[in-house]
Amino acid sequence: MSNYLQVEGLSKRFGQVKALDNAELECSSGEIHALLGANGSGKSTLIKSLAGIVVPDQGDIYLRGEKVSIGSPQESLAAGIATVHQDFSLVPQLTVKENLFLGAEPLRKLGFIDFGEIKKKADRLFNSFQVEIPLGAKIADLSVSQRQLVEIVKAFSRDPDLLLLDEPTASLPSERVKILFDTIRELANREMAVVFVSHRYGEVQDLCEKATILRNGYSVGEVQVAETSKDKVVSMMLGEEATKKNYGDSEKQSSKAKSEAKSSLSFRAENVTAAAGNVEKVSFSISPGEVLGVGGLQGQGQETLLRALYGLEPTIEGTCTLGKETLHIRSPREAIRNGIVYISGDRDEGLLHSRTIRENISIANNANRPLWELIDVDQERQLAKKVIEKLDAVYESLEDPAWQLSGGNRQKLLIGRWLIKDPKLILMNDPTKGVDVQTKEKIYDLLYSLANDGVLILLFSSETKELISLADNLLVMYEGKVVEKLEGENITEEMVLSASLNTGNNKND
Amino acid sequence: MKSIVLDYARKNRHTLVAIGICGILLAIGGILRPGFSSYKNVLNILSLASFLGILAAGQTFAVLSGGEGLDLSVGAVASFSAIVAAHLLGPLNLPLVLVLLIIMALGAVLGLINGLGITYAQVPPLVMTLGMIGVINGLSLVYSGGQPTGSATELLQTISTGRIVGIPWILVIWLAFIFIVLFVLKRTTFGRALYAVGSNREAAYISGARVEIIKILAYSFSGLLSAFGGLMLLGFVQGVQYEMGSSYMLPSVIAVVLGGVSFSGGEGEYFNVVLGAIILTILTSLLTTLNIGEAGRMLVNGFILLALLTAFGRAEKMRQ
Ligand SMILES: Nc1ncnc2c1ncn2[C@@H]1O[C@H](COP(=O)(O)OP(=O)(O)OP(=O)(O)O)[C@@H](O)[C@H]1O
Ligand SMILES: [Mg+2]
Repeated sequence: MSNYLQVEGLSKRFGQVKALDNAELECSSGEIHALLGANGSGKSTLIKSLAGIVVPDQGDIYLRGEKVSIGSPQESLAAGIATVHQDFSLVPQLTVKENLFLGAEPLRKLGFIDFGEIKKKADRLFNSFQVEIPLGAKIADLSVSQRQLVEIVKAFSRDPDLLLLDEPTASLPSERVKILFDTIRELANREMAVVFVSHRYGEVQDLCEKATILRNGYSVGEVQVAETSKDKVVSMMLGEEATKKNYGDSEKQSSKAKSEAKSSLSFRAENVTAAAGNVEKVSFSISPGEVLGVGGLQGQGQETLLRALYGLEPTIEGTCTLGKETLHIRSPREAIRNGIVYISGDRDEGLLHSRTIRENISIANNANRPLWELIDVDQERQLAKKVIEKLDAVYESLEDPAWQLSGGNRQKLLIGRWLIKDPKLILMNDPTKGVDVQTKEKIYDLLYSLANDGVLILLFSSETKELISLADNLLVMYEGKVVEKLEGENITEEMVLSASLNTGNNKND
Repeated sequence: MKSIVLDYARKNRHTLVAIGICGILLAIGGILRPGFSSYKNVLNILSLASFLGILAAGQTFAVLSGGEGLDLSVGAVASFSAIVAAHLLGPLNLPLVLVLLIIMALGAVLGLINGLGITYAQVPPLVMTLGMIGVINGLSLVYSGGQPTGSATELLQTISTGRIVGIPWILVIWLAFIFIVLFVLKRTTFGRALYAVGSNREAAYISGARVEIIKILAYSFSGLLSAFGGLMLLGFVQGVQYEMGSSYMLPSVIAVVLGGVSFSGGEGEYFNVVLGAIILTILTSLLTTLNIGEAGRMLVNGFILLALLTAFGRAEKMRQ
């Protein structure tokens, strides 16, 4: 048998939910195999079954044609499997180095762990990603994209035969994604089998030859990526009827055509300077109906800018005005009071994991009301249902804790909660992270209709393509400053890149 | 239909298991000592449990607030408020309602100090509230000048030990108390915010919650409720002694654990803590009636608790 990995009839139930229902997957050595499906279709559950975190109820897993049972993460590692988890497997209180060594079983060879070897490999990998993450830094102090890289390096440094990548690119900026792909290809050339999960179809076309598509926990089929199209794959993901109903409609509406904005409030920021020093004298304005993007290379202060405007980062200078009003925002509470909300793709920062779906949405209201006011649970339930269904979230009951949701569906809670607030300005920091293709379209539509209603939108996305297609105008940031403002319909990725590189080069001259 | 029942059982497993354990302990008691599980004795046990249940309510607020939340001073606050109450009721002869208000305000202030230390001075809750035990016991000495005076008035004694249509007053009060605590936790914006802050402080802050104020309020509530417990205890014991509430410190923590309140914060129900307090009280009375002797009792108590705590503590793994 040429398949390195073969999964047959894998099933797993959580209460009433069939997370996996007869799932199949095959992947041979040297192959990079895509695993696709809508949010909540069971991709992560399948990955976790192979990683020894979820124990399936039924089904068989074969490695090199031999039936194996994987009861724990240690057994998975010992079988030569390494995993990049969607929600990361890092311990926040430990350092990068400690995390890299965590759970390192003596793979093969002798009975001891070669820490030196792991460290050497990790160093080499960090180098190839061109990042400097101090090995002594605590995970909790790293940014999401840094944590994502540590998670990747941790898996790669184990030198596995089978590599499972659950949305490894969700938190990575475009430049790093390229490097990651080169590394993956190189590993595949050395006969490693790779399973790759992503909601970005472009990446799948770029990287994978074959793809397996999951719907409601079962494998709809395996396709050759080159011989099919995005639309075909999406219709396999959704099933025929659903496709016509949802996806087809939204495709048509996703044009940037705008009607006259209903409100005439605009937002101006002048000389905003963050105390941390990575945002310096940034000035811009957003006019009604406009979606303004902030882009450029990774980590040039874009996220800090959004956080500073929301009162999450201290500023030492700068004035912001919304309409005629001058704002003095020192905390999220004050921002919200002024009609400014913040949607982040950092789910650790935004979710109440142990609380119910209902509470995770209504917190947008409840956190800002006087403490003695009473809560109307029925009303909460109705609001929650309304916004979460608007975003096609898959869930069993509003009373389930948020951690039970799949990654993309958790992200929908973070977006949905602010839709109940009627904001004036929405700060978006990678809002569609981990959200599936068709829901992304829905979110884009929603964004346009909000913009049309006069809601101001400031958007950052780690995916430059998304940024360009959504933003009317784009601020390019470099080393904390706005170096160029790109305007108009025809912004391209090259324009963004050259705007940032030119400045970089000029500086070096 | 069957699946709905199963689902309900799954969601309320903790409550069902706790009720089951109460039943088993009562049945064992009834077999070993006839009369142990009689109506009358069960009412007695419940009355005893009420004092622990009230102090454990304070503990619940502290633990729910997260960040290793804990209030070891619940017993000390109860002791101190009993001493002050005895003095106000006896020698000073103030009316009970006024004393109740003064005592609860006093407890709230002591809790407030805990809360301020924990949030603004960033002292870990364990250290802060442990330190406060010393401070409060010192205050007791200073207040009473080494000789606590006064006692419960007749009215207070009636409330703590009397009966109405065969049911102890204290149980009626506890029931009302349970309703109020559940109402505050479940139906007010404060309660909702408390769960949110305990579950993920950062997320609560980003959503606009005033994280510090909510934590401080949680500890103030803990103090206030413990002081109320102290007053009830005074009525029950009738005379005053130093540190009469201190024996409730550890049990209040155990009741909270038995109640499934998560030490990482933001998760757990006071109703289950009530059941935890009842389990604990049944166990203690059972071992007392069996006449095993102090050493044996402690051993058996320890083992059974260990078994219960492991059984309950193996809560579903959180995020994977
Ligand atoms: N531990 C759990 N308890 C209960 N339900 C769960 C649990 N883990 C997953 N589920 C449910 O199983 C289904 C599949 O989840 P899974 O995480 O595998 O989806 P996914 O395909 O990875 O989605 P996404 O693209 O959003 O990451 C979802 O409906 C989810 O709510
Ligand atoms: Mg997933």
